[in-house]
Amino acid sequence: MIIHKPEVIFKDDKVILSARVEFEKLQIQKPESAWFSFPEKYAPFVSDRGDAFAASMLPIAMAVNEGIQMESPLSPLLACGLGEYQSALKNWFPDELHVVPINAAAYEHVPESLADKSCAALFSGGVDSSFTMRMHLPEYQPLSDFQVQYGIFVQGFDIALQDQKFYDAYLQAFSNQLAPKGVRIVPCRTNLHYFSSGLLNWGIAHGGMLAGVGLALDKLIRYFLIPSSYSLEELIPWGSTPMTDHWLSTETFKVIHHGVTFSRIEKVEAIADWEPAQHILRVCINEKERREMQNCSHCEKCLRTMTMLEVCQALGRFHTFQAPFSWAQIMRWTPNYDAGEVWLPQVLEYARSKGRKKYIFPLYIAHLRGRAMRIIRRLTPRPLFLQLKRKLFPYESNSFNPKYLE
Amino acid sequence: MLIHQPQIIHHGQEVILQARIETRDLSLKLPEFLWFKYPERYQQYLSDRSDAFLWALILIGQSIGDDIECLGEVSPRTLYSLDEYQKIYMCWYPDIFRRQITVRARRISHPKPLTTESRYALAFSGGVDSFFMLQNALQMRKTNPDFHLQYGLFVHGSADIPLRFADKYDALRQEYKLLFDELGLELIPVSTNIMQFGAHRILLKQFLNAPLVASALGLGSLLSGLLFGSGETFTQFHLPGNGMLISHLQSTETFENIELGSGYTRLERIKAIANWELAQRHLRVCFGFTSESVVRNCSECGKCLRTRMALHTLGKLEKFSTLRPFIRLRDYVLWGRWLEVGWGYEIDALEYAWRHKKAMVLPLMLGITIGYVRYILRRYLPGWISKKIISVTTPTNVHDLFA
Repeated sequence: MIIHKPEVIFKDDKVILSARVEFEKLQIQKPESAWFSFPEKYAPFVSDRGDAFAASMLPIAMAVNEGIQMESPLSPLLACGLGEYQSALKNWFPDELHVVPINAAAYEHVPESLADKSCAALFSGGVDSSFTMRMHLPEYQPLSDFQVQYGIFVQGFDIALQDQKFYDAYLQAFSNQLAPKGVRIVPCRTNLHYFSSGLLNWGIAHGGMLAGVGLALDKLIRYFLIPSSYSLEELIPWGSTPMTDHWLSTETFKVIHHGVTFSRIEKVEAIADWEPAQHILRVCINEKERREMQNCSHCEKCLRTMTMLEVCQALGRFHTFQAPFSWAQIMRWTPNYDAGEVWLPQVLEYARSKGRKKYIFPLYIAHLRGRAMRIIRRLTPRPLFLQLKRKLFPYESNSFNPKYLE
Repeated sequence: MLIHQPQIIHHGQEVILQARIETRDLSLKLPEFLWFKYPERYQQYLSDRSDAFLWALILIGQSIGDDIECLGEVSPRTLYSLDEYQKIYMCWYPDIFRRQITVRARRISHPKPLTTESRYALAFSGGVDSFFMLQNALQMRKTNPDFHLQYGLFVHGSADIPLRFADKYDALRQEYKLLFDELGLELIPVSTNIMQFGAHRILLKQFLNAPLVASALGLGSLLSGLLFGSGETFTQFHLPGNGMLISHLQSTETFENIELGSGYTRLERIKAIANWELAQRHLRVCFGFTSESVVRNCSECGKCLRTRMALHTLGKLEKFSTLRPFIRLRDYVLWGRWLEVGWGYEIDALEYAWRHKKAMVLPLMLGITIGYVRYILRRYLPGWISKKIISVTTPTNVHDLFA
């Protein structure tokens, strides 16, 4: 894989950082260039280096077993980190990934004089990112270096580039809610997910791309907060983890994987009384059912979050879920136990500790459903599982298939 | 716990970086000073900031539940990371680290950036991980030349060489100095009394990093970071105490603590250095706690046996002049006695033997059986019986050597 020298292009009030990506032997169609787009006012902060592309494309290069040839300079520290990062991914996903060589035209530090000192967080409006955002506002974070000034809201990761109306609605709402807190929302568009689709599970591919977004603004950001998906006791091999994210740092840009020492119920409790989250919480991944500013309220992630908010006695204050919510919906929740049977027992313990006994029976039912599903998943032969997945979610109809970009 | 303003004192051919430490509970009998001694020529590079002392003592403060106040300067990044660092230890060892302590600093400031190019040191003890990292770092110098490895840091008073073993340290220091000279690198010898704070309070394995990181941070104007070899693999991320989750936190704005090599199993690391002549001549894996006269390897302890067994499986043992070059049946039994179940060393060795050296499979199975029986007995028998088993099958309490 050759990653050509990045170019900075100005187009329609946007500044675009783009690099041509050449594969040696790829069978399926992929975009010609990888790019990040920001509003034009961020042009002075956009990197002209290859770091962002190296971090983003590494898991894909590993999936297609092609070494990376960078035609632009790479940070020496990042080059060292990428070696470890791919070592970790290879250890965890030995059947899907290969260790590949990474060579750069030159190894150069980002000059300290060009680096700003801001703290930015990836912000999608979910539980993890709302928690990370809140914990880095001045009311909770006394160290000014770590008070968040920017929230980066990405279109192209979980919201497809063609889903503009949906993205714009949330972008407006995030900006409205967080501006009074001193946080500027930076809209970012990228086509990186269109490279990984059909080649590599997003759960593996996304780690490098998350850091890539921050690296694309390396003249603005000193500390880049990536909210954790899992807590310490739930950790699983994944694209973004506290063991690996820090490897995607450079001399002047530090990635911080935040929130691993908090359980999900603790995070939900921490944002339960936070007004911005009550207006903008966005957890739904059901692309067909979700509406502008409304979660579907039926999918696993919605039911999980609604249940936790309900047990925290805060669901009524959240405007992005459908009301009313009853015990029956808790019983309809089939918790995803891929990371172990953790989330629901945490909620059960919390309900007990708060004396909220009425939730205990429905939570037990949900726990049994989750356990049954886990057993079924485990007993299903992997080839059969993958075949079913391909049939139910064909690449052709994947929202991140590059054909939708044409 | 009060960490006073660190001082730099010139003493003969050494320069001492030290800070007075006060605790509320005087019955703890902690030493009055925490100190680091460097050769005189490094005086200009010493930092009188408190970052080194804070990273050295945070777990001690947490284990005794004493909030820490620093009178010297502390970096914002250190203060920020300490929060996560403490929480992780509380999750891993809730019985030892019961609560998160408050860390206050009178002065919070960024360390001055280095005026020269980036310069990294490699923590070096002469063991498998050290040689593996040295080999990798030398390779990296060729492919990524701006990642400047220039120094080796050899610490006296860390978990593997107690301060009282001065002659042993001196002999090794001279040997490693020649080795580093040969490679065009500079060996920095450091002594510290840090283990006197940790002995009998926290587990030895929780205190492996602190002496290294603190010694390197003391050289704040010289080093951009410290590289050291990981003891675990990425698949062991769930094990308490693994460095891949916490090492990077021990950094400041101008210093990176970098743990490398988690992508390789111990057998792979040994295999990588097995043909390297320098490793064959200098490898030192033994804790050597039983006797100061053992300068390099006793060949009998758990670590020696683990390495000898791996080298024997690879067919390279006789090339290593610092280890007993043959394996007898008794060694398999002893190896099993020391086996640390859960780390996968024995499975790797067995798997390799099954593929390449079938004659070793049976004796390895014998050792493994002994190891697993010991593990099960220790884990599931009532405490008063298992303690007796531990007293017979475990080395003497090494904490006494550091107290």
